[in-house]
Amino acid sequence: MRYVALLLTASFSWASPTFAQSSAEPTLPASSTVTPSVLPVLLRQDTPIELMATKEVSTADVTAGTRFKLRVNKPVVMDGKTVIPVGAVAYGEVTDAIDSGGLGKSGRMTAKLLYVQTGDAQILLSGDVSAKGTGAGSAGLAILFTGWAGFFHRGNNAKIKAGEILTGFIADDAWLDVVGTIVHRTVAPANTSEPNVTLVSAVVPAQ
Amino acid sequence: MRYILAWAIVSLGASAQAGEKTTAVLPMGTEIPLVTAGPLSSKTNFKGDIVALKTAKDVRVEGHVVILSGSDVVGQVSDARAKGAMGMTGKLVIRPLFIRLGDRTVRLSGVAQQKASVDSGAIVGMVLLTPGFTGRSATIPQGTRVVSYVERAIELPCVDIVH
Repeated sequence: MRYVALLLTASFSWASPTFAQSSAEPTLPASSTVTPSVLPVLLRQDTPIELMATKEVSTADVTAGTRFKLRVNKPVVMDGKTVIPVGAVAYGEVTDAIDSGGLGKSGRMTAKLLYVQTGDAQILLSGDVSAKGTGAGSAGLAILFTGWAGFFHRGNNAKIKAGEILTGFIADDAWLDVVGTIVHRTVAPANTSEPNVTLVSAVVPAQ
Repeated sequence: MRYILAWAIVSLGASAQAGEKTTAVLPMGTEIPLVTAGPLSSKTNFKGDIVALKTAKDVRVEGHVVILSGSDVVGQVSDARAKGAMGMTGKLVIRPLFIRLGDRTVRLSGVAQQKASVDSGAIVGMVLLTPGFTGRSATIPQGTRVVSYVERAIELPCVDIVH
């Protein structure tokens, strides 16, 4: 039985030399391949962030409370580290939506930015968007040219078009641990003195 | 090396003793006059476009300059309507967004709007004679003044003190 076991072991190591070699090679410790962040990065309140609408948001199919997706259009770089990469997903919410109506009444919409997701961290955003349907005065012309039928002419819906650029701002200071492309939310280092942070937070009324 | 270190400590202490103010709080609502850095038109600009503005003069807090004249300001086209048939005129609305000063951001509010105008008599006449008649594009020439206001109070370094 012992001979059978020895034979099996020998044949296995002969049949798969690469496996034998790779298992014999010294493996690098994880710490040497991934450089940990020395200090967390402060993403300051009011840092601008450029977003892009990925899909059209129209008063034809949204109501107040509807959430919509956006993508980060330009990376946010702090201390040489990309804390929010291009393509990160952000969310907005429609706060008011009035559909277009008869007599050329155009639609109106307002929306606010909610947050951006970077790694594990959700970072609150501030900023709003408003849109108004075009062609509000077209009803008069429609009546002029089509007579009574012009009264049934509907205005245009308000839209945030796909590809439209929206600008938001970081709502609150956020300390982030950035290791490569992995971003975690963390607490402020104990020895950091940020008098301005407290000042700004204290002075600015909540929006 | 020790002498240099000692000199640095002494000079730092001296400036602290003198009580020289190096930062100032720019209050919310402070008016900042801006000018457009380039010409804008409802023909070439669309809603969402980022536009360049500049500060028209130094911004001072308690006598100290915190934002220099000519500093870059970022704005955005908040509404744009191209001219259309039946004499529909173009419209262009821009709003200042922020000034980036190092790692600080001064958030701004305000608006500048331009709507092309056409005489109503001309519209009626042209519509009757040539229904394909289009209105004019709205243009905002370079150097147009835009009034903006600080949206959040922020502490900034005094530019005229930094040597």
